[in-house]
Amino acid sequence: MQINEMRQQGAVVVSPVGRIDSTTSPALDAHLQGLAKAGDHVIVMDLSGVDYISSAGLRVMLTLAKRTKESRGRLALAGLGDSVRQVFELAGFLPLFAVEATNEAAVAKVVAA
Amino acid sequence: MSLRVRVETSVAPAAESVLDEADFVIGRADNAGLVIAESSVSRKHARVVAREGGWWIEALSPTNRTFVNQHAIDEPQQLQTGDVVSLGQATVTILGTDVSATETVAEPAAPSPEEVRQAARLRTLNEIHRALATPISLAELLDLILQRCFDVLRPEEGIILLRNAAGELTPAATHRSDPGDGDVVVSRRIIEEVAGKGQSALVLDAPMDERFLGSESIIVSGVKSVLAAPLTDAEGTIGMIALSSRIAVRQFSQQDLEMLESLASAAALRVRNVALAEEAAARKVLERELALAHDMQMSMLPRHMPDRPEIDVAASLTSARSVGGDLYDFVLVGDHLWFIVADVSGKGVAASLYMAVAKTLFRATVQIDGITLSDALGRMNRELCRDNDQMIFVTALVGHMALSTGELSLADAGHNPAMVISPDGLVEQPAIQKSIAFGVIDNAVFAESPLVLARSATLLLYTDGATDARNPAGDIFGEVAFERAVAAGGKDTVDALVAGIVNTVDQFSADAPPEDDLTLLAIRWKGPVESEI
Repeated sequence: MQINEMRQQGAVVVSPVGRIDSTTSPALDAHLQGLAKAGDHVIVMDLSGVDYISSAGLRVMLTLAKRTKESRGRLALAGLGDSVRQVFELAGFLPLFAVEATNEAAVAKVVAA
Repeated sequence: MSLRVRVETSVAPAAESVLDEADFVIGRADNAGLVIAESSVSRKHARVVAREGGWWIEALSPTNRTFVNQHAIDEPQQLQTGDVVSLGQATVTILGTDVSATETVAEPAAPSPEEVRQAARLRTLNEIHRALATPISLAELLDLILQRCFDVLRPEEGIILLRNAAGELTPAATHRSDPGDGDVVVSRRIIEEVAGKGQSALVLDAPMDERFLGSESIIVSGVKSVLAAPLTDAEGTIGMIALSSRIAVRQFSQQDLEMLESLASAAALRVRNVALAEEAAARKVLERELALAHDMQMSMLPRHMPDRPEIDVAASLTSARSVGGDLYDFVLVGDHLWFIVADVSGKGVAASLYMAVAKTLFRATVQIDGITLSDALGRMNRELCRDNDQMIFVTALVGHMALSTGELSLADAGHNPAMVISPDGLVEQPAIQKSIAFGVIDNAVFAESPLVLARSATLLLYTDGATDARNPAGDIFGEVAFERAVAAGGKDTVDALVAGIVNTVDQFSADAPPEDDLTLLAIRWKGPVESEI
């Protein structure tokens, strides 16, 4: 898994590429914790490059959502492919997240607030 | 070589001193090489260094300035006999810049500061080579390497970067002469130059060196001089060591670089070995933990299927090495059979403990007199949300069946859909309202959906280890293939149905290690017990 990151209008867009499973999720979690430590709490998770997410990956997303909420930040997901969306849906997690089709829409969502 | 000075202050009579350190601080601090106990003098006011056969002075305090012959100095300046250095209210007059300590006897010349440093370099190398031969932890080894570099090369900052599992260079040890001054930062350009190309680097004037133009971290932190060497072994660059100095007069030399290079190459092999040994030890601990988790998981499964004439029940749990955390259970309460198939996210002992809690909660909650499925799940969830900092969650399909009628109540807490196999072998997914997994939202509400099983129909519950199994080529087994496997065994006994599905998934995965637990629970309703005539 590769993690790309860019800044758009005050939001950090994090784009993991590849599989988010029990092997790769610690690296993603560490990356996101690093953002929190640096005071970045306005975050867009661009999942368009993710072809598989396991329950370990869902935990990273839940932890991120919890942390963002606690620090009064904002979080939105974007670019969910069918299989990734299905994993969120199966676990009943879709209602927990702001989900947008594109990065642009997701950035607008988190920045507008 | 030494420096003879007369010190005059407002608080004590004038005194003469002979200074023979090659590098010392003048100031109020107790550990200064030339201590001036006068309040107008800074703790570290100026620094004097022997270089190129002369003595040079450099101001250390930007606010409390240092004057040579009445002129404030901005740059290092060479000292001459007769110069008067003013620091606050004190003056230091240079009486001689090269005086033997004993002038009477023609002894062999004292070693020059450069010779002294050369000897110290060799001593350091020797010490580190010896240390490398003894058992030492990676952290101790890295600290020792940095400590010795500080003793001899006297940088302000030092850092050792090592490649992590992802191949990124991350700080493994840092040291600074002045503690509590923020993180040690290495410029990305130096990392590229040294670790990327495997070349050592000696940068004498960082702000001016064209290799580091635009390299903000060096300039911003005021680093003037950098010494860096790659840690290289047969398999390539495993890391790098960098030392930096902010003080212009204390610049590193080519000999310093050579010493650092030879130190780095000796250390690299040892670092690799120690890292491998520590990794192996950590893996052993993890393996033990996973084995323990596996035992806990297996000991929690029911030993017997429920023994009632209205139903046939079969179950199977194949645990994966790495992910773990599936569970199934059932409890008979009067005419009702309560059942659960669950998948705990996470792995190892933490997940197993969570699973044990989930199972205990399930057994306790469903036996509360007259409790509904929704209420039972709401209670379980509230308990599982308590102190769940790790965000471990549990997906589950939970339900109960009235054994006399085949009527079911089912709830889906973030789990895979259930399947119903009709007596003639047709497979369908019953509509069950979706609720969120356990352990995420403490006041979550769990919807229950009714379903009636026809006589001889079978309810099949499973975990994603069934659908997400992979073959060695990385292809996923998938829902379609899973449904086909279920249909293939639809008319068999429940035992044969479950065994057949496990077998089909096994054949598909071939030698690929299972990524997730695979759990199946089949309940066939055979109809009410005929009352005897």
